[in-house]
Amino acid sequence: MRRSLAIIALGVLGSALSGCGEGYLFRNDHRIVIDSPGSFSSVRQPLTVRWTAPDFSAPRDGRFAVFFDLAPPPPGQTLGDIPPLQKRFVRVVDSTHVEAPAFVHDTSSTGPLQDHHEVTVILLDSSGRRISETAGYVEFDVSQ
Amino acid sequence: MSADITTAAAPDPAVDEVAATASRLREVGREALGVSGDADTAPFRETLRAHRLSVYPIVALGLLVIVDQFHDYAFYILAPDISRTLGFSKVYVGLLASFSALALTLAALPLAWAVEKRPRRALVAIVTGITWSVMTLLTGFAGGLLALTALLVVDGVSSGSVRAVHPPLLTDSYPPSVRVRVLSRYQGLFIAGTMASPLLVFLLTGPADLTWRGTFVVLGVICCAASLVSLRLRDPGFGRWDSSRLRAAVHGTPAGTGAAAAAAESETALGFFEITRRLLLIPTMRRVLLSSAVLGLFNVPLNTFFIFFLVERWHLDAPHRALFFALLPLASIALIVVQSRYGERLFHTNPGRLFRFAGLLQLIGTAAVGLSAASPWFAGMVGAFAVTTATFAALTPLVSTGYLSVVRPQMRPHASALFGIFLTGVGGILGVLVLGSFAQHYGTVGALIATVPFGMLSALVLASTGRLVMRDLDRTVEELVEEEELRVLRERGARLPMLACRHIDFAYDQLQVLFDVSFTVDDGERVALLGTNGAGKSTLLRVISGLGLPSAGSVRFRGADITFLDAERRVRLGITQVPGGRAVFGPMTVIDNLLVFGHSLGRDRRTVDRGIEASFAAFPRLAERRHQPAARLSGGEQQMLGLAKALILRPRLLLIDELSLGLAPKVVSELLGMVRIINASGTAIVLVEQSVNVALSIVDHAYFMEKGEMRFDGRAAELLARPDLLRSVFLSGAAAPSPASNGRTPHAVEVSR
Repeated sequence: MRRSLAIIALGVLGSALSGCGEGYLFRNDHRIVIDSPGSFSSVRQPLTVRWTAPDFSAPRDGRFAVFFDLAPPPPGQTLGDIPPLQKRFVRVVDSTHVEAPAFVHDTSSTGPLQDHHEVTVILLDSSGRRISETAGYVEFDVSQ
Repeated sequence: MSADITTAAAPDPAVDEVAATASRLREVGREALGVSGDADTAPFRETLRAHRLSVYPIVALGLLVIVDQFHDYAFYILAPDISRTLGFSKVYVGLLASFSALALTLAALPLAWAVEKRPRRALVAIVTGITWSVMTLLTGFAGGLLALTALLVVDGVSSGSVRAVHPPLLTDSYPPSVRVRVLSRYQGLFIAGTMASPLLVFLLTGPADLTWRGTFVVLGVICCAASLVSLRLRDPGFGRWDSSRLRAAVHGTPAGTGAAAAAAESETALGFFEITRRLLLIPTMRRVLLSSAVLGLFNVPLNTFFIFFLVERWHLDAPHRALFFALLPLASIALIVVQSRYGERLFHTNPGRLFRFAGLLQLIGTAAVGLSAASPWFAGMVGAFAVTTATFAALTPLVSTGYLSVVRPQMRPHASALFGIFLTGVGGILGVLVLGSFAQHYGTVGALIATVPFGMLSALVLASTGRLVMRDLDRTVEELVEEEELRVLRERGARLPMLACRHIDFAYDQLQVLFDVSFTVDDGERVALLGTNGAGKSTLLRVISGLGLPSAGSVRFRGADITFLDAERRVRLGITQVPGGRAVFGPMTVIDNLLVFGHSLGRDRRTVDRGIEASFAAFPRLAERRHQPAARLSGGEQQMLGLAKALILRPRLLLIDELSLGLAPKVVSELLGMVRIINASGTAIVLVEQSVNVALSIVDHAYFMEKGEMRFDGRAAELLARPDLLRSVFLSGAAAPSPASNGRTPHAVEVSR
């Protein structure tokens, strides 16, 4: 009984972890560095997000995808699964800057989280799939 | 032999000697459990040296409890990075954290179950330690949400051992004279883990520039190394330093169990649910759990709300908040170091004082929450909150030592698991609800201040445990002493009574109905249990058959303790009750009723069929009506059907409640004949009756109860010479018909044999 449970557990883990090591990032590669807004800075709207990616040239190597308050897809996947209503929080660009959507005061949360936001920049290949686990990320507050 | 329990006898040297021996054994027992009454405490190292003990168990388990926190802290801190890599939203992060916390909270009880029969707590601690270490390592390789969920749940389940196994293992690894200090040191290492975990995550993600994957891999490697240190852990056995010593002290000989005793014990050893229920009947345990449910409010939820408070009221940014929470545990460690020896002294003198001190600490900690929330000065806020954190951290080893000391060693993992469930499960959920609700109405500061009355109430409950703990400790001592006495008697070949109830107290909620009742039945004996209506006769039967659990006293069957054994297990041991009134399933046919009696034991069909045939042979009228619903039978026939249970189950002890109630004399006579036949086959009979002439016509031994107390224990013939007792039956019966008799007048008591 116990041996069977152990075998099942190992099987579940094995299948869950299948493909491990492939493209996994264990040390930060800093391929994308967000220049503005600064980490945990307070900014005013309209807001432009700027970043640098020295070894990635768009559109030659692919494109940049920018996510506002939204988790990006895992490596190897496209943006196709993002629900239509959330697509306005995603920008796909060739440049290294983009204007953020208008942020509204969030009354569903409390305290300092009401004006707290985040932005994530990832790399896409020419077919629109996410390249590696590399991401630029920053959190900031919007002054109303 | 007879005894009139109501009339006080003249001073008897034998009685004095028994009382003196009981008192001596109680003192010996208290000392074995660490309550010497002496405030002196030997230095920690000196005590360990004297007993040739090392600090290895503390270090090994301490290392495990430090690294156990790595996974949780890393996950909470790195959750945004993980969600960005694996592509899931923050909602899932919260859900995953809840799964893990739920697994951690609930796993403690199954882990307690895993170690309840055999002392393999060390093995469980090692295996679970290795498991969560591997899970931490593997988290670095998680490929998706499913994998991460599996890893978090397995990590949570394995971490359950920290609650269920670590404190009981430490308790049994060291003598009671140093236990507060042992648990305090362990708690200190736990707190060191709360400091080390975020610091390590900071170092790995900051200066070392690792991603969340790299961080988990490095933490996993550290966890694995720490787990390897624990490989030499060995379980010392249940109660090596307390109950075993107490057993040895009873007769001055080494404790041990012979083969017969071991067999008897395994047959009546309490199972998981029986142990849990048993623990919930211990007054000290109940108070501690009640108090911990409120204390849990100050555990995780308070820290979470305090973060918002720091942002809103003091505008602290993330690095400063991290610094605040990283340095705060220093105050906890300082207080634990200072108070551990003092706590030890209190425990040695009187564990009640330990609980009162713990209550005082909680009171101070709670008041400090209010002060920190209201303080207009930053330093004042930090100082007050440091007091809160330190006092609550220092509480755990004190409370744990207190409640573990009144619990039998085999049950300590369950007690520890229950404490954890009430503290983090019940308290955590209540805390979020209470604090969340107050925060919505009065803001964060208002919510923090609003917790103060709850904390103070809980502190008073905890302090009030001090009044109960000595009584519970003495009860534990008495149980162990009684067991040891019986073991010695058994080894000497002494004959033990089939059933022995000793000093039974029983209450329906707050209404106590049995008071210090003792009752004995020998093999093959016919015993009458007589008394007025409401005297407690049926309640005593319920206690014997397991339908009611006593608040004090013991029930032993052939020397084995069955006080808290489930009713169905008592049936398997050979105790069967025919309840008062109509003890049948009315809508079912006669034959179906008989089948149910048989199958309740899981017996094979052939045995059941033989029993049914025997029943029909004994009661031909039942055979004639075998296909009729039991509800259509006459009162006498229903009692016959009830008695047929005995013919199928063939118990060693048959408890019959109100056999003659509302039946014609001819029917009663027929039933009594059957009772004699059942008895002749070797079954002991306990007949509960209000009708004295019915009962005394077939028994040799009689007990008489009045107002929940045993008034007479002796030969039936001698009871006949006690009109003072029997008159109460006449008067009670005439004045107030029994509610159970549906208004019928009880039988005329015409005593004749």
